[in-house]
Amino acid sequence: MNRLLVAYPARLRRKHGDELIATLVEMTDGRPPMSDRTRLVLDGLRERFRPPVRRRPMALLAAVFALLVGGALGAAAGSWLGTLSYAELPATIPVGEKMTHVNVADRYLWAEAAFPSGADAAYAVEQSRRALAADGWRPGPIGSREGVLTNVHFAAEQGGVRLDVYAYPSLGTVTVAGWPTRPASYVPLTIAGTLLGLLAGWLAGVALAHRIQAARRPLRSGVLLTMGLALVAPSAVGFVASLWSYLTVADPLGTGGLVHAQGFAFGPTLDFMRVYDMGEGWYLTPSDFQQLPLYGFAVIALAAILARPRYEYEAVAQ
Amino acid sequence: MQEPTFLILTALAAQPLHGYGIVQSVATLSDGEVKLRPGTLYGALDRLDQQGLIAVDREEQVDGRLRRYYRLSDHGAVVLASQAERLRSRAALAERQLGLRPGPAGGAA
Repeated sequence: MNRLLVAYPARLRRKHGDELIATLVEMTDGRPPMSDRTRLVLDGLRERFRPPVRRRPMALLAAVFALLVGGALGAAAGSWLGTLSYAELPATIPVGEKMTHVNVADRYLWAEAAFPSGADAAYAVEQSRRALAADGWRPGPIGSREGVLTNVHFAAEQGGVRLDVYAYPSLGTVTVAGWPTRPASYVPLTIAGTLLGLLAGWLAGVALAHRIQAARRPLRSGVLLTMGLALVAPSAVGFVASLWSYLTVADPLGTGGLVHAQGFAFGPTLDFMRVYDMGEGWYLTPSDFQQLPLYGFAVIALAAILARPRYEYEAVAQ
Repeated sequence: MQEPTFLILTALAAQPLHGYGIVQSVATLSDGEVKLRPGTLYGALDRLDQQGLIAVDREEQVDGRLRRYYRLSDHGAVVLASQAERLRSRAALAERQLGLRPGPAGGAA
């Protein structure tokens, strides 16, 4: 019957496990029906969600922070799983009048070709557009922009890959940038990851709050937990903001907008750092935001390890 | 304070009780309205212990099973007394307001 107690937090199992079973046995003359066993399990699950009652505001604050960090980490895991079914980038694409080998870095491709001799931007773009259509790409309408970097451009898609084709009269070149589009499974996986992360975050936060409160030196672990969360927070906020921007950005996305361009990422994208002038490249880089949470989670783990319970249970009064 | 918590403290006010004893006492005190389950009982006891309102009185082994008796702590007695006083004043207030109710049922009208 002890396996029914698996649903309970370890703290309660240690403290009241034997009594729980003994009381259930006494209440049911030793033969608890299935309904009572089920309720015992459900009550145990409910206990896992309850934050401690002592120093409640601090405990709630820690649990809410853990909930949010868990949600962000779950979103990162879910969206990263979504990127596993990104389409492969092509090795060659037609640029101008001939097939061109593309440069591929991370999840981006890039290619460039000079205008045909004597041609203007409009002609060069039209030529590329025809060539891409002939190669099976679905080109969109041609647009143009005046001013700094005057250009003529269009977008094209094929097999889960998106290309942005720009012809710059001032440079005399056609440049192509491309990246995978979001597969159908991306958003559902991201949502599922977020929900699971929120759940796991709350449960972990509540368990940690209980553990720290019962510790011999709760202040030490409390300070470490705060430090750990502070180290994780910038990456969590940066990632969620970048993910939101990736999911909602109006066309074009731009090279630097994919959230997991170099594999699993938990931090702001390059584009996000540029938009908010976060000193990208000279002050902070995306890899800094990848490392910060590692230190943060290590400090949180240390806080949990050091928070050894004060006693097994309150000494029985003599 | 929720009703089951109030009743658990009330049950422990008179004498130390073990888990099943508390379940029986609470059922009696509430005329069978509140039936504690083992899971809800020990969750509540854990919170009351965290708040210092109850303490372990003694432990016994009966038929090879642990029986832990709980008692109301001094702090718990103070809290229960103040809660009882609060409920008493609320009840008095309700009765006074009912007395002011106009209509054929009585009151000041």
